[in-house]
Amino acid sequence: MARKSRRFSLRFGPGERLKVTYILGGLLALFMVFRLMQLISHPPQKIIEEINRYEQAQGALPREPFRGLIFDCRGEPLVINGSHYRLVAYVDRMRVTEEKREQVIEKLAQVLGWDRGELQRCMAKYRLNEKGTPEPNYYCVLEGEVDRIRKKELEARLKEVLSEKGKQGEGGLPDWLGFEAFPIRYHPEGRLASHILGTYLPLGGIPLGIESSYNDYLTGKMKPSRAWAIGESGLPISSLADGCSLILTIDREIQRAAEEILEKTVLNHNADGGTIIVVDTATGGILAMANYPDFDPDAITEVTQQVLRNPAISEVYEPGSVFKLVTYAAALDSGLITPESPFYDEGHIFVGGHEIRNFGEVAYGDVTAVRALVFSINVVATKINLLMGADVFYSYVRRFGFDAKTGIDLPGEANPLVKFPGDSKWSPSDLGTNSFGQGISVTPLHMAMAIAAIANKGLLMKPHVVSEIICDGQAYRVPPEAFRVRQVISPQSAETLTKMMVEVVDYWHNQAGVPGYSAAGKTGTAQIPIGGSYQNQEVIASFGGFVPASDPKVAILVKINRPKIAITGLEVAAPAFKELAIRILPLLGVPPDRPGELAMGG
Amino acid sequence: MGNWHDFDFILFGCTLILVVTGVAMVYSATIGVEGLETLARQQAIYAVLGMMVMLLFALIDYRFLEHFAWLIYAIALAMLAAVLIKGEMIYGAQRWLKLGPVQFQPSEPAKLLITIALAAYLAGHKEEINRFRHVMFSLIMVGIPCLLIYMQPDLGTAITLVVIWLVMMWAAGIRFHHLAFLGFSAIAALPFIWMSLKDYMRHRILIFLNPHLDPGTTYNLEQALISIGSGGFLGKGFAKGSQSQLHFLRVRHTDFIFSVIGEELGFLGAILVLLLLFLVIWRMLRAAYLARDPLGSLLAVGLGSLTFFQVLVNVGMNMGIMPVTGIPLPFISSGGSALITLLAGEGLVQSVLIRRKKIEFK
Repeated sequence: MARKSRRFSLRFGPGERLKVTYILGGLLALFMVFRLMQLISHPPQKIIEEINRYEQAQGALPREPFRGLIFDCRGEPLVINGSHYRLVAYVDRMRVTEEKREQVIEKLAQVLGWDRGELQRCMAKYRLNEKGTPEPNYYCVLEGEVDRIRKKELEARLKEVLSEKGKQGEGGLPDWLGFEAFPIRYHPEGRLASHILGTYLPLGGIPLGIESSYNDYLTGKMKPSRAWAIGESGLPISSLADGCSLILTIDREIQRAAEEILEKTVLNHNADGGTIIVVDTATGGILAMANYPDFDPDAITEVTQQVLRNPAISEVYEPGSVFKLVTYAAALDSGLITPESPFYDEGHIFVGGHEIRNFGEVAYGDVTAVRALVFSINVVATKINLLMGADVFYSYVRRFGFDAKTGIDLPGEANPLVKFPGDSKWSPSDLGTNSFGQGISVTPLHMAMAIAAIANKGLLMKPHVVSEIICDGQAYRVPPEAFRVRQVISPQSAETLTKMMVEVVDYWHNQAGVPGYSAAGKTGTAQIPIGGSYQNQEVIASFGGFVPASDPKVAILVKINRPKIAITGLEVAAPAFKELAIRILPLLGVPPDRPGELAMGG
Repeated sequence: MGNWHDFDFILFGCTLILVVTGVAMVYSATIGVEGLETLARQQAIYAVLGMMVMLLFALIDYRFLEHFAWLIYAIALAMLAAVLIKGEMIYGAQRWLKLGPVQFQPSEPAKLLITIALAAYLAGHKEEINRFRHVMFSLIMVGIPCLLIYMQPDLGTAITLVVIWLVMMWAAGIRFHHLAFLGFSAIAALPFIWMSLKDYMRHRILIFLNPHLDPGTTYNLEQALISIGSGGFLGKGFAKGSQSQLHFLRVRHTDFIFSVIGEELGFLGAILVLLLLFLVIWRMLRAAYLARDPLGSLLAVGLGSLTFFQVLVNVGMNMGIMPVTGIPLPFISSGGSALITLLAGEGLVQSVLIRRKKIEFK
């Protein structure tokens, strides 16, 4: 037995056995090296995807980018960046027993006011993904947004509640708990220009204001064309923002004046709301665009979506008699009338089977064209349109830009509702009603730009609110030629019409006159169509004009919705125009062109 | 005293590099993790201690151990029993024992002690190893501690012991038909073993066979694969791995430290570490050839295969070719018990090498 085995072990002795061990071990070692090479040279597809995902996540980790800042035309800040914080539990870093874990969750629920069950779900070790399969949970947002003061309070409270001997991470909080800073938008001027600025809503939502329309610039995703470069920017802002910053055409002081006067007017007349637009007539830049009611951009959650929309561009209204300026412009420019052309007002007229009356049911008899504008005679406006004919009238309506959006650099602009001959809904009576701005709906901005065109020697401009884009310290400006739309009427016609508008303001000097300055303007009291018929007491009172008439600088449109104390444009809107002009002309450094008035008025 | 000319400086040098690498990687894997900041320093202390223990064991004449084989075996059993009775629970397993101020994992030194006892027994019965009763006796010798370790529960270490026994039996000259018989018995016993496994163990084996069973459990494995895969050829740089530094990878300083090496030091670093480990194992197995007697040879085989099996299982697990078990990477993973045990074992192999020639001063 022993001999037999000895013979066997001679053939396969300890040496041979060790050799077999070596070879086997060597093969296994080779296989491992091979596997390692394989894993690195050809990672499985799923792992490549995971790697990309994590590398992206890592890239996004350091901090969220700071959006560009927004300044008014004088370089005063309107939107800047601040920081808020969210309190986060890194669930996978909690290395505690189940019992301890329960205690911690209990305490956290108390301090943060969470429902305990909900917090347990949020801080569960695993959670289901979209596919319904469990995956490790490393993140639970305990508080979505807290400011610096609340953060300090919370820190102190959490330290107190969760304190443990010897185990302290950053700031005394456990290492699985942390505050993450994220940038927020801060508005130093509060509610000022809230509709223009809009809001930056990272989680989606309706597009609002510049924050939305210039989002790609503000985030730095887009840079302006090199051709627009105008040199270095004087503003030291590059370190405060990652994206491009904006300088607006808006003037903080003019905007504030417009908002204050608008609010006062709306409240005094118990109106529903209103809009004031101030346009730089030479450039088409918007100096102010005020709406009432407005909203607080730092407390956006408290207001409804309806208030967030900018009615100056997104709501259409029947402009009423202010629209007579278009009718008169067409008639003057086509050579049909002069200011002294005689008309006879019977007090009413039939057009296309509809009777048209004057406001207040009066008849003026023999009048000149300019007198008819001063007294806002609907019958004369209708007669002018009938003389002119639909082709000429509507071609001017188009030339003034009432057939399309203005193309302002703000989101949510509404289309004007104008019927043209040939449209199925157009009827011959529209030629009459349109002559005094009824049966036609436009945005306040449309009306303001048409008035600005008259002031600008008949040249229609494209409205805009951003004047400069600043990227990496370099300033860019869209060339001014780009904002010229078209010559609507000849400069001579514009001048004649301006003189007529000055007569309007001079006649109603108490309501609309601007002491020291010549002003041009037109009132409007438009009935609001409700279910196809007009109500006498439901009106929009408006006034459109520009100052100084001798060398226009600004055009102003005032629109007050449903005033209830007084209702006419003359009584409600004209005084607001007057007050605003008095306040902003010195701000713009415009010298009085009628200094004698000031001396007399004392 | 032995002949220090025969001290294996290649073995010693490679081990030193590995141990230093280990301390560095533990540092990288624990930066900024609250509660673990001290681990790297501790690991450095264990490393120094371990190297001293290694030199001490090299001084000991291994033949001396033969007389104490049963005492050594008894100590191993006592430690393993004690850990079951009054051990510390960590991560749901009872693996730690407190001895005064020192806390350690008895299953680590037990591996060394049982290898020594087994080598002594097999060497003592070298001529009769063809008898089946010696095969069975040695199997029972290993089986008892296996059972104790399994009850902690720690399946990985229990399997390690069985593998060491198998390799040592092979080297000692087990007969082929005995081996075949044991193999068939094991296969027949598989269903019963399966029934007796703890739920988590069965779960891990099932996950290994079909990784899509539970994404939650495969999380670490997937993260490990991503770590290694994203390291590329040169790696992301020391202490710069996003997987490990952003804490996506858990237990990264122990079981999954190899993937941290892969991510931060790249393919080059990982392959260098792997080659160093294979070099160490080769030098240990080489001692089995040079040993003057069966005891020395079996000791070297046992300790070499212990190291090799741990590398195989741990690195294999990091690369997704082995199931997830708690077996640390030799010389690298954080943990004093494993490191000091391995270094002590290596000291014994040096002792075998030093004494491979007859003493000549007589």
